[in-house]
Amino acid sequence: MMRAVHGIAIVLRRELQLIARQRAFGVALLIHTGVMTAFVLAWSSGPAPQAFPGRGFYDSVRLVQLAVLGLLLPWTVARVVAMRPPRLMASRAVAAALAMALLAFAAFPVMLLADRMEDAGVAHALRGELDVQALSALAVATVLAWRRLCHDRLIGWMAATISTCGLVAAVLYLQDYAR
Amino acid sequence: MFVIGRLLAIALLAAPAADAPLLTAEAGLDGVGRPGRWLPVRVTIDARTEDINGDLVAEWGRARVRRALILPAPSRVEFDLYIRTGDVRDVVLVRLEQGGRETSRVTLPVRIVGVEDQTALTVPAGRWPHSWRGYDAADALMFDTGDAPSARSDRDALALWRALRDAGDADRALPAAEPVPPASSPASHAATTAILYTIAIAAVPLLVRRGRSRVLLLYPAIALVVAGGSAAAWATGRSSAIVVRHQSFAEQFEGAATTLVSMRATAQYPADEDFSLRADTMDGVLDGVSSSASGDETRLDAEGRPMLDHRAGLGSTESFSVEATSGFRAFDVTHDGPRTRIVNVSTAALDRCEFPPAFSTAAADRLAPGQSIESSSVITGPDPIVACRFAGAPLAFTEPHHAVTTSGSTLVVYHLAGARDQ
Repeated sequence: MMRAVHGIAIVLRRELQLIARQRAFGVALLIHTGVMTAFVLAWSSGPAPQAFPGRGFYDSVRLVQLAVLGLLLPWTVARVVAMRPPRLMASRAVAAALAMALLAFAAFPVMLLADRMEDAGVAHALRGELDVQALSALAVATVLAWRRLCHDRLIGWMAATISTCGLVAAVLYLQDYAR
Repeated sequence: MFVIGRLLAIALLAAPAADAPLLTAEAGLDGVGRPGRWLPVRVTIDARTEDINGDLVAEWGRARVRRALILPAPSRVEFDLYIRTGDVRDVVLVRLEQGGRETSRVTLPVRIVGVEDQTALTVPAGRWPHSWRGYDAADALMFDTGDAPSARSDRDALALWRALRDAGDADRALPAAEPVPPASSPASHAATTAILYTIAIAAVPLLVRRGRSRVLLLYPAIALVVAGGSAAAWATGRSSAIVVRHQSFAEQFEGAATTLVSMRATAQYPADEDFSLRADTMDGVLDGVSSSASGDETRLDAEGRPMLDHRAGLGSTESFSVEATSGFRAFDVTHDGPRTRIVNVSTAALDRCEFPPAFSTAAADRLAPGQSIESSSVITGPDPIVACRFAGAPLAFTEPHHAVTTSGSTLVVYHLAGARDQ
């Protein structure tokens, strides 16, 4: 048992090293944080922060963040996770999930500023972060699933992006409908 | 006297429990209230056996004034509240609230007089209002006693009311006001933190060496920067100052020691907290324009200073207005025969000054501190004024947990005794 755990840890460590070496991870980190910073500052540059109809400022910015991550995460996972050999897929999935969780969490300080502009409370920002983390796990799962089903890397990535965005849109629609 | 006696009797009829604080009150000068004019409510509270920590609330129509009250037992306090509404009723309700529940109440009848009716009211002996607003319902005054008010503040209040009545509310000629300086955006409060954080997070992958042994440091490094950025985002603005931007009028009247201040302003809050902005005057009202939650309620702190309670977001702005009296003085005016001498007694340089025609046409449009100007002939006209502008505020603001900075300009006007008074 201990040998198995030790073996998984070694593989996981190696997979995390592989992801960290990929330039795509750093680029995605910068794009996510930079785009969210730009949105938060641009939408709050008037006398009062702007928001989508029927939503507060933080919730509006979080929708933008979900859209950005819905496009960015599948691309990042597709770029940084190797598919062969298939026997290491479980460790790769765990490593990718950890790395993407950190990538998704990187904009939290900017989102906290947006939350404070609306005076929605820190608990509100932390609840919003749960949605973002759920999206990062979903993105990893859909990319890996589509890559198993579809051997063409480009088509697999596009299918994963479409299905991730579609699932996010459906969940948001159902949340709004339930409200 | 009959009216006052009746008011006191009704107030005392609401007999409280033996250990409850004794609340008595009188409403209106001579029991009279008028639409759109201030109504004085003199309240006496006797904390007999238990300390009082609560709010005193007076309601007249839709208007409400709430004053915080901290009173150790046994002690007694008397103060005036002023309330104004266009939606007048024939009663004023005064109640004491402690711990969210009402512990005492009195209902005071008010005799309503129309806006157009000429009203001469009697000031009872020793019952001088402490503010000019106490006389606001009257067109003329009669006194139960020939004595002048003994307290200087009471004399100043009466002098200011007389000066205001003489100058006339409606036809008081004032130069046009400038707009309130625009507030900065909420983004400006968050920009430094957000941009520095973005630079830091972008630098992490570049700084972490891509060598085989140290590449794993990327993840804890990112986590560390996110944690630091979150702490910085949480702390942003928490020790910064509230910024009050204003456009003010300060009116001085010949014969009155106090200055009447009216101010339109915005307060920009640096953090998402509860704020309690207070104007540094004991005679005034501070009305929030954009906060609708409290309706027509104005608030005073336990010392009687007008205040504005607001739950704010980071960088959010609230509009408000102030009507108050202040000890601020820009001009000192003396007369020597037909000549009138005006001195700038403030510490600010007065700019863009306008003088009546009796002053030389070459009169400087700027008066430095201590500088004076003298008329060459007798001042005439229905309401001759001297008007100057300065960068500053005639009233200071405080907040218990944050510094307050002000920016804006003040139009200071001196109403000279003109032909009407002479």
